[in-house]
Amino acid sequence: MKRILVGIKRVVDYNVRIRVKPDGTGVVTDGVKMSINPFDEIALEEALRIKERGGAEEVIVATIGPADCQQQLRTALAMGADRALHVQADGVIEPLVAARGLLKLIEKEQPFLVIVGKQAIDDDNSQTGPMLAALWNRPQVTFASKVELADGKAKVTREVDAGLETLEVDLPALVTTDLRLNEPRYVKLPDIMKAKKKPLETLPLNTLGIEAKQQLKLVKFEPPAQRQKGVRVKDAAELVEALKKKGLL
Amino acid sequence: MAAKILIVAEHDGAKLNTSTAKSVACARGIQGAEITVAVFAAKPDAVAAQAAQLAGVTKVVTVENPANEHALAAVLAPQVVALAKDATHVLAASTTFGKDLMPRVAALLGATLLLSVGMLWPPVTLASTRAEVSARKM
Repeated sequence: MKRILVGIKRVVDYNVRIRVKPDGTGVVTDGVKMSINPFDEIALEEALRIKERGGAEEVIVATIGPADCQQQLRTALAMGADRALHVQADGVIEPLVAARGLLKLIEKEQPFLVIVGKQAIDDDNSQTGPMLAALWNRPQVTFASKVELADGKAKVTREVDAGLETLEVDLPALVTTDLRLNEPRYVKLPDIMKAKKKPLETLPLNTLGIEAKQQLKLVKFEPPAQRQKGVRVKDAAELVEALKKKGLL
Repeated sequence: MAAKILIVAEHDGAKLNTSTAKSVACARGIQGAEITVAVFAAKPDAVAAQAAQLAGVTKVVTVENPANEHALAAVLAPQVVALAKDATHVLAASTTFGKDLMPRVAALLGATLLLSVGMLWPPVTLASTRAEVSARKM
C-alpha cells in the first residue's frame, strides 16, 4: 500500500504567551493550551492533499511523547489521517532519539514519503527531519514550499536564504515543510466524532529497542532581555544629535 | 589536548558565504581551538583561498568532487563525517544550508547538535562529548 508517514509534535499552542519558570528550568506548561506544532499540521495537510489527489492510499500520523500526546493524534485523525501511532515516552526526547523512534515506524510501515514540519515551535531545533532522513539513508528536502510527485520522484521547491531552490529526489524520501506550503484545514465536529473510532496504536519507546538517552544538559533558561523604551525626537536635527551621542553616526 | 574544530564552509561555488566567518569566530571562542575549514565543491580552489584569509584558520582542506557542485545534504553529510573522524567539534552557520546539513551529519555521528548558538559560556572545554555546533549572530 502507498503510505505517507507524518510526524507531529505536541507543543504549547502558538497563541499562548510563553512564560519562563522563575527557577530557570524551563517554560510554564501547566494549564497551558497544547496543540499540534503548526509546521507539522502543514505536513499533515500536504499528506492529506496528496492522498485526496490519488497519490497515496493511506496517511499515518505518528508522535513520540507522554500519554497526553494522544489528544494531538486524535486531532490529526479528525483532520483526516487514517490511523495513528503513538510511541510512548516520558521525559525529554532529544531530536536524535525522536529520529531513531520514527525510523522504527518507517521500518514497520514502509512509507514512500515521510513528511514532518521543518521545526517545532517550542525548541526551534529543526533537526528531527534531516536526522531521520540520514538514519533512513534516503534523500531529504527541507523547508518545502511546493511538492509535486510523479514517476517515483518528488519535485520539491524549498525556501533557502538566497531565495527558492527546486530539487528532484527519488522516492522514498523525506520532506520538511515550510510555512507557505499550504493552509491546513479546520476540523469539523462530525470528523472529531469519527476520529474517536479510528485506530490508534501505542508502542512504548523501550519496546522498540531505543533508549531515551539525553546527551544535552539544560543549564539555564531565561527570557530575552526586555526592550528599553524608545526616545521621541522632535526633528531630524535632534535625531542626528541622538544618534551621534550613541556613537552610531 | 587541543580542540580540533572542523568548519564546513558555505559557498556558491565561487564565493565564500560570510556566514562561514561567523562559524570561525565562534570556534575561536573554544579553548585551544585548532580550526580547519573544509570546502566541498566541484572546483574548490577559489573558495579555499578565501577561507584561508579568515583570521584564526589553521588549515583549509578541500574535497573536490563533481557531485559537490550542488550543496545537497545527503551527498555532503557522509563526506563531512569522513573528515570529522579526528574532530572534537564540527561547526557550520545556522543558515538554511547549515540547518539542512548539520542534523544529517550529527545523526551519522550519533552526536548531539546545538542549533542557533548565540553565545558560548566561557570556558568551553572538552569535558563534554563532542558536539556539533551551528553558530549565528556571533
